[in-house]
Amino acid sequence: MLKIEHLTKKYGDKVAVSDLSLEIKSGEIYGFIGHNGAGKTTTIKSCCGLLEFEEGEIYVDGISVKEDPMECKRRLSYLPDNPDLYDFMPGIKYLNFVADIYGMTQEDRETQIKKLADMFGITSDLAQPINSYSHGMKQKLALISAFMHKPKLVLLDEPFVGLDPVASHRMKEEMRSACNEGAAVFFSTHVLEVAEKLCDKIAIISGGKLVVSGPTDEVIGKTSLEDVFLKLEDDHE
Amino acid sequence: MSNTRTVFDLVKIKISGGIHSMLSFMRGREKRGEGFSIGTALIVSIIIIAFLLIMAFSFGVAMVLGFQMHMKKCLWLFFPLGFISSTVFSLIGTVFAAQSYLFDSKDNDLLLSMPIQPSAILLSRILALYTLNFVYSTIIFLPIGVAYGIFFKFTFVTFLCFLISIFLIPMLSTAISCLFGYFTGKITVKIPNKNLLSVVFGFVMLGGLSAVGLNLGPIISMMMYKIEVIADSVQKYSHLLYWYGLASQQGKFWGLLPMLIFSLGFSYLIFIFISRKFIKMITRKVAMKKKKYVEKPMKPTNLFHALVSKELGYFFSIPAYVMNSGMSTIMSIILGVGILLRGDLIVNSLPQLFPDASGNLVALMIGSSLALCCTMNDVTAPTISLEGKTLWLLKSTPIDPMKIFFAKALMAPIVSLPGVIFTVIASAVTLDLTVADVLFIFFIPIIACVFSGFLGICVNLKIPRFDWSTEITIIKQSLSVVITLFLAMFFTSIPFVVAIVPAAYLEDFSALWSYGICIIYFVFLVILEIFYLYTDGKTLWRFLNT
Repeated sequence: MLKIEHLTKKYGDKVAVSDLSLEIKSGEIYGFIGHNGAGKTTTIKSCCGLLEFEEGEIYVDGISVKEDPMECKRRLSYLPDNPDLYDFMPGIKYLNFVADIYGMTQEDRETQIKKLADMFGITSDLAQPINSYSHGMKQKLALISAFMHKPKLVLLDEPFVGLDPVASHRMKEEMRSACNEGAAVFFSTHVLEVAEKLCDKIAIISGGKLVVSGPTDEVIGKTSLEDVFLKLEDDHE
Repeated sequence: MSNTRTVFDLVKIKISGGIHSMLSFMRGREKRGEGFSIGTALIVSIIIIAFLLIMAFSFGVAMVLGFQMHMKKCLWLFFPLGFISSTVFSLIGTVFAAQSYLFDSKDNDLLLSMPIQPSAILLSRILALYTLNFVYSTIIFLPIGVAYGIFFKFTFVTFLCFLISIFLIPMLSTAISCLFGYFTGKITVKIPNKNLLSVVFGFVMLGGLSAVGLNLGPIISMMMYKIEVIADSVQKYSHLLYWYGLASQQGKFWGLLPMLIFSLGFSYLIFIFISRKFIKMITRKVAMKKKKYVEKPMKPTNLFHALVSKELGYFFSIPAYVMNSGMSTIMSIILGVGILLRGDLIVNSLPQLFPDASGNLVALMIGSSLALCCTMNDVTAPTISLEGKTLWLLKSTPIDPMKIFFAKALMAPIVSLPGVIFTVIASAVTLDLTVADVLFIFFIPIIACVFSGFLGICVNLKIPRFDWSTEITIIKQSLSVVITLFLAMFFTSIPFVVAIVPAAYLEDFSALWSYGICIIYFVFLVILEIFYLYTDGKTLWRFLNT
């Protein structure tokens, strides 16, 4: 579903991501781990066409992000680490706006919004303007907008930040359910326990370079993800 | 760290933050090329010229009134009048900013969580506001002092009074601003639809100020004519100002003491009063009644319609945006009212001014005025910058950038439409116009709006700014707004000069020719803009990154 081939992205002279290659297949939850400034956000932003990159190629569902970004965007949804939404809109209006962007039918949007808003427990707040929402509520609303149009690829940057334990649990369920329906989820996180339990595959990035990637069991081996991560970080330094 | 040191540091942060925000358009100009440097120089020149003009005006008025006072033997009124006018001027500049300056700062939580006395936080903000008031009042009071020094000569005591006054005036206006800020903060928190109220209040205040500004000549004449009466009234009813006048002009230094005590005492009382309410004010929550969500059918709309609705929603959610970028709609309505009330004056005076005019100059004049008025509605010039932290939303979703540009550009005619319709109806009812004239008066401002709308987007794509903390910085101070305004007015005035001159002086020149020239010109410009957006604009959009 997502194929990254030799991605290199520079900010001026600074190399943020260097020769990174990854492949995420349908039905997989792929965790992306790395220290602050390792290049996680840059990689994710490049995948959804938010950032132009110098070298390499990224394919979404076989379509090049460089050549046909619009078609790629139709197939994916992206959520930044701290999603700023249109604060002046009521929650429901925002969701309707996103539904209009993806051309969802009336039936689809009504069903999906009801299902996801009930799941995250914010149905009663949907008429309120977003500027009255707490950080967690905004995150939930953003997650609803990311999942409601049933994208084939979900790109999430630190999706668990600000979520309460119940919402985190529901979120994991939704990720799994989306994958069961054939989607792929690629997300970055600092919560290693979540990555260890939730992800089918894991990639660790350090200093813009991919250090290790593969099925979670293989990457962890007989230790824990925390041990692996710390060891790899030490080796890399 | 001592409280004094903390206050000093906080004031420094506040003022340097303001300056940083004001001058941020100048940074990185090396990358942006020569055009950008010219734009920057243009803005800086305009700001300096505006300051100099205000100072020259203050000097001129002080000189004229000073001589009048001298003749009528009431020169003691010179500095009291200067004191009042400087206080009023600085109040105009700061009174509406006081609430956000004192209570709505983004670092409230951060500072409260630190071991800093709340009174020190408040004092730092009051001092920052004082600095702003100092700048405003000095622009007026300094030329007044210079005029006095040149024409009436300072003594040591009068000069000392003048110097003390320079620091006293901003103190008084700061205290009044703080009090106003406190009450507006207290009231607005309880009002549910405060955006609408702010806009209405803002327009009323601007209307009042414009009325005073337009009648400044007659007001000054009246003051000259009645200077003795004013002096008598001040002497009888305002001892404070009278004593201040005696001190500043006749060297009776004791006369300054009551004003000094009053200003210091009043400011201190206000500080004590607000510092007692400070924590309550900065932690206040807008009491919003929770709106219950009722499930309704969610009808899909097409993407373009959704984008336009989003733009409209954003526009009306920021009162400063409506006030700043919708001002010309009010001006258009005023033009319409003028036509309704005094339309006959235009009809009668034009044939006398241009006896050889062939076509209908009235329609050309009204159409061009309306078009110029509408192009000043710079709704679109800040619109890309305003996307700010929400830019990810439009960029990561499958929206053709051209649709975004068109939706944004459409805002310009939408915002101007009420004023245009009103003036067209007023013209059609009052004046003797043909169908072609009416159509021209309607369509030409609309096309001009489309032109200025696209122009704003082109300019903003070229020089976006995403480092803002409040929208007002972008709406009022961004380079793209200033450049768009100038370019739009320049390009809009060209065809009318070209069309009006032959219509006014050539006998065989039909009005329809003039209409045609104007319309073809704007259509051509709009096509050029769309072509630019389709090529360079889309690329610039792709590389936009917050």
